[in-house]
Amino acid sequence: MSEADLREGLRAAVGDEPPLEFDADELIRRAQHVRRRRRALVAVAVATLALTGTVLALPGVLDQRRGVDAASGAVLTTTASGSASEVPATTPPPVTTVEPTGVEPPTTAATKPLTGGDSELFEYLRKRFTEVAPEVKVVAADAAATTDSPSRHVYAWLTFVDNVGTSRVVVRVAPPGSGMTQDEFCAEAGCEGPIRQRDGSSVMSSWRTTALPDPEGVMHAVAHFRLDGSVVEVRGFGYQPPVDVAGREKVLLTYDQLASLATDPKLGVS
Amino acid sequence: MRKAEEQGFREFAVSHAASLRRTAYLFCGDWHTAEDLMQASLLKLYQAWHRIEWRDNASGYARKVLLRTWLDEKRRPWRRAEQRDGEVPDVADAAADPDRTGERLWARDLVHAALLRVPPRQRAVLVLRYFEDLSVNEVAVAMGCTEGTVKSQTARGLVALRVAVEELERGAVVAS
Repeated sequence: MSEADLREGLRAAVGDEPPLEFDADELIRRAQHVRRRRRALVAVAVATLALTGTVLALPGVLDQRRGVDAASGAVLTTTASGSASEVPATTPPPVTTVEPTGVEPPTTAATKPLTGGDSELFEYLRKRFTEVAPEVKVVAADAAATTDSPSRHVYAWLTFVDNVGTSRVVVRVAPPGSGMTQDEFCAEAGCEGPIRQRDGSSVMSSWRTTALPDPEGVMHAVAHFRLDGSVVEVRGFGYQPPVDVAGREKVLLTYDQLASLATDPKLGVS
Repeated sequence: MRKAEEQGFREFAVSHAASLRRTAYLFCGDWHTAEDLMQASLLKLYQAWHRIEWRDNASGYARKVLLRTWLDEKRRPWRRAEQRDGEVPDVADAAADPDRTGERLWARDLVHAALLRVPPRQRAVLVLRYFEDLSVNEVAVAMGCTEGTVKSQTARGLVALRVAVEELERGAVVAS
C-alpha cells in the first residue's frame, strides 16, 4: 500500500460521516458549569484545609497561652507581701500531670542548696523566676522570706502584675526531718502523681481552692519530695482578687513552670 | 471570559467541530466516541482559551488536546478492548452509497479496519501525517515528541498498517 493509497483510504473512511449536530452555545454553557463547579470545589478544599489547620493548631496555641499568661504582660512587678500559710482545701479540679518539659533546669555549675539564709533563697527565687518565665520584666522587687519556727519551714513569695491583674507564687521549703510527707500533701485535696524523677525522687501536684486571707481562688501546688528528705513546694495562684475575665479559674503558671521551680536543686536549704 | 473571547471561541468551535470529529473518528473508529472526544476537547479548549500564546495556531492546539484526550481515554480501564486478530466480519453496510463502486467501498473499509489494528501512537502519527497532511514538525508538536520519534513512528506505523491490510486481504479471500 502506497502513501497515496493510504491518503485516499483515510479520506474515504470518513466518507460516511453522520450529520453533525453541534450547538456551540450548549457547549459553552457546559464549560461554564464545569468552571463554576471546579471553582466551588477548590473553595471547599481550601476552606476544609484552613479549618483542619485551625483545629490542629488551636490546642497548641491555647496551651502556649496558658503557659505564658503570667509572663505575657509587658510589665511585671514584684513586691513584698504578707505571710503565706496553709490554706483549707476543697475539691480540686481534674489535672493531668506530665514531666516538666517546657523549661530547662538551671545550667549553673553549682547544684547544692543555698546556704546563705532566707534572703539568699529569695534572691535566687526571683532570678530563677525570670528564667522560668522568660517573658517577664521585673520592674520592682523586694525580698521577703520567713521561717516558721516549730516546723522550720521556709517560705518565699513573689507578687507580680501582668496586663490583666495581680498574682502570686509561693515557695515552701521543708528541710529534712521537718515531717512533711506525701500523705500530708495529698490529705487536703487529693493529688496527682507521684512522678518519678531520674534521681529517684518524686513530684506530686495538687489543685485546691483557697480563700482569704490567703490568695483567693484556685491554686496549683507542685511538691518535689527529695531523696534527702527535704520537700520543695511551689504554689501558683490565679489573679488576686479573681477578676471576671475568661479563664478566671486558671492558675497563671503552668505545671511545667511550677515543677521546674520545685525541682530546681539550688532551691532549697541545707 | 470576556464577550469577545467567548465569541472567538464560539466561531472557532463551530468551524472546527467537524474536522475534529473526523480526526477523532480515525483515532478511535467509532463516531459516537469521536463525538464525545470532540466535545471533551472543546470543553478543555474553552478553559484554556484566555491564554493567548497559542492563539496563532489554535487548530494545532486543538489537535493536540484531541490527541491527548483520546490517549487518556484509551488508558482508562473501561476502554480497554480485546485485541482481535480474526477475520473481518462479513456484514452488509446499510449506509453504503450505491453510486460508489464496490471496489472503493472495500478499500475504504479495508484501510479503516487495518488502521484500527495499528498501535495507538503509530495510528495517531499516520492520521496526522496522511489525513491532516501535517509536516513532521507539526506532528512532533502535536504529539509532544521529537521529529525523529515521529519519523520512526511513521515508518513502524506504515509497516504495521501494511501487515494488517495483507492479513485482512488474505482473510477476505479465504472467506470468499
